[in-house]
This record gives sequence, C-alpha cells and structure tokens, in this order.
Amino acid sequence: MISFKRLPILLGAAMMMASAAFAQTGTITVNGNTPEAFSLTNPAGGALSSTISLGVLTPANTGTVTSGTATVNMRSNKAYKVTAQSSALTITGGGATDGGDDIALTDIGFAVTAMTLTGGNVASSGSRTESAGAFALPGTGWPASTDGLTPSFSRTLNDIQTAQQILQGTRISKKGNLMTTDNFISVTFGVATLPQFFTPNTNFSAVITLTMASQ
Amino acid sequence: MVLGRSMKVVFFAAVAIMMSRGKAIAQVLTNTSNGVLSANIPFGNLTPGTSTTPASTQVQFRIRSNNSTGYKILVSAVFNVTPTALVQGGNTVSASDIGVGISSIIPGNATSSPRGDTIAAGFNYDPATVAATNGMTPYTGAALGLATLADIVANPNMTLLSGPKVANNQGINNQNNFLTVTITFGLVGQFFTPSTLSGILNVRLVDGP
Repeated sequence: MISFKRLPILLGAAMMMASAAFAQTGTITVNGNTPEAFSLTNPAGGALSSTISLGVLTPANTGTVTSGTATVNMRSNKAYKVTAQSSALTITGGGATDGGDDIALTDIGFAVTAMTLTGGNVASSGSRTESAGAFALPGTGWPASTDGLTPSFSRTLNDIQTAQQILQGTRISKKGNLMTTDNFISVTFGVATLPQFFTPNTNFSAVITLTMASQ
Repeated sequence: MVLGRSMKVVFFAAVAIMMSRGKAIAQVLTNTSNGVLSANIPFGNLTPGTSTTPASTQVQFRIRSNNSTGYKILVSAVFNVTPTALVQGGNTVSASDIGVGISSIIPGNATSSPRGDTIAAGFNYDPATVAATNGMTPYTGAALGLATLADIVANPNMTLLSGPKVANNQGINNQNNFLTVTITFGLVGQFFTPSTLSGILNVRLVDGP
C-alpha cells in the first residue's frame, strides 16, 4: 500500500516548481551615457586645419596692418573654454640680419575678430555672451600704426606661447551632432602684422593650436 | 492503493489547481538560452559624430505558446535620465529619442502555420536602419510609423505583438516550437546634456487574443 500522507506536500511542491520554472515576464534594460562633448571644426564640418596667409609683406607708407582670419565652428553640450597656444616662429630663407630685426611673435597680433552666436539649435541663441577678454578685437578693429612700427596689439602670438584661455561661454548646442547645421557658433580668429623692413625671408610661419574643453 | 475521503478531496483539489495553473503557463517567455528574460543591452558612450547611422542595440527572446486563442506580448516601460551637467538651455535625451521596433520574427520549424503575427502600429521597423539625415533624432513616434520608447511609456501594458497559437506544445526542451523575436533600439548620439540614461522595458506574455 502506498502512503498518501504526504501527497498534499508533494503536490504543493510540484506546483511551486512548475510555477518557478516557467516565467511569462521578462525585463529588458537599455542604458547609455551621453558624455561631455566639445567640437572644433572648419566651416565645412571637417577637421580644423586652416592656413592664414598674410602674403608678401612689403613695407609701405601706411599704418594699416595686413591681416587674415580663420573661422571655426564650435559645438558643446556644456560650458566650455578655448585655449590657444602658438608654436615658435619658424623663418625660412632668412637673409642676413646685419644688425636689424627679424619678424617676431611680438609683431603678430592675435584676436577673436567676430562671432556668430545664433542658430535654431544653439542654446540661448540670441542672448549669448561669449567672453574673449583681452583677446577680443575692439569694435574699432585692428590698431593702426602711428609710426610705421608694430602697433599696440592687445595680444600677440607671443602672449600665447604657453597655452592661454582666449574664449569661454555657456553650453552651445541644444542637441544634434556634427552634421547638424544650426547647433554651432562660428568664431573667427585673426592675425595681423604691419609690413616693415624686417630681415628678408621667403616664409615665416607659426602654428596656433586651439583646444576646447570643459570649464 | 487506498485514499481516505479527506485525502481524495485534497488530491482532486490539487489536481484541479495544477490543471488551472497548467493553463496559465501555456505560454513561456525566455531568452535565447531558454532562461529567464532579463537582458541588459547597453548603447555605451553616445558621443556625437558625423554619421547618419544611429547607434543601435537589440535583444532577442523566445515565445512559446500552445494556447488555442494565441498569445499577446504586453509591454510597459519606464525611462530614467540623470544629467551630470547643467542643462543651460539645451536638450536632455528623452524616451522619445530612442527608437523601438520589432526588427524580426522568426518562427521555428515546428510552429503553427500559416502565421499571422501582428506587430503594433508603428513598431514594425528596424530603428538601426533609419537615417539621421540632419544629425538629430529621426524617430517620429508610433503614430507616424517610427515608434519610440515614449510610446510605450505613455501606454502601459500596450500590446506590442500578438498572434495565433505558436505551437502544439510549449516545452522548453523543444528547439523548434518558438518564435524568436528581435527588438531593436536606436539612438543618435547628439550634443544632449551630459547624462546617464536607462530605459526598462517590462515584457509580459499572456493568452490571446
């Protein structure tokens, strides 16, 4: 004779096991991370690698400086700062100095010359207040020379031989990525120099490295 | 074998309960290893780029059901985002930025046919293949054919998928008696407020219709 004294217990256990073995619910968790993001591109959206050519700098009877600019598109999802650092001035094809002066970093003015701060997906579009401090070109433009020598630039490339903050602001982009055409601000950087009787050369150059990062 | 009267009552009551529960477990929802469906699928680091292709991730699960009235997949969702920086007039990623679609349903060899599985309107697409032509979220919502997680958040226990009986049995040792469903999620990395995000999709398999 088989004992059924423990049958209810066995059946209960079987039911619990059956219940536990076949779940009809499940959970799917999707997660991700939106990191801090800062971007400097050329106006075409490509890598920033611009050349400002000042051309042949022949001295003349004028106090007007020769200048050039490069425009940079900037995006960020957080308050940012931009630093600039200039390399040393490289002079090629230099003639004899003969007691004169070579062109130097102190002879080349450097400034933020213009900014476009609006866009459909620019945060605080229309009310942005980027701060370039002493690197902002005054409304009157580049200073003119009064004596045919290097004018009094607010800042020159010599001032950024070590990395210096040249611009800062609040978050730029509302959303969108690097393809988006209205989520960036455009900042134009300029250099200027007065053509003078510096020691002749065939070329001079300096590389300015811009770095954008979180404030 | 002799059962007393009280034992008989207990025995038949237990059998009745088991039969009742047996009907309740006519469906089995598992992952692709026949285990409990508990998937964690990361998008990872959503750095904005220049691509038109959204970041995507997907999960597969199996549906077994021998219920003659078919089955339904009910889903609910919650979405959480934790900003790690000030919003400052920008946008923070939301559930409506995450595309959700059933990108495939593959019936096993022993499933009932012809199949007539029905995907909820707007969810019958693959979010990974939707181009972000302007670098922004391309998903327009279920009403416009490109559903997002926000559609599920707004409609708890919505029927995501339904269909007729899957197979004549729901045994998980059978490798041919299930539907393999793939849900794909898509998200375009953008200059959203720095944050961490998570969306939890609760999936429930019940009798149809």
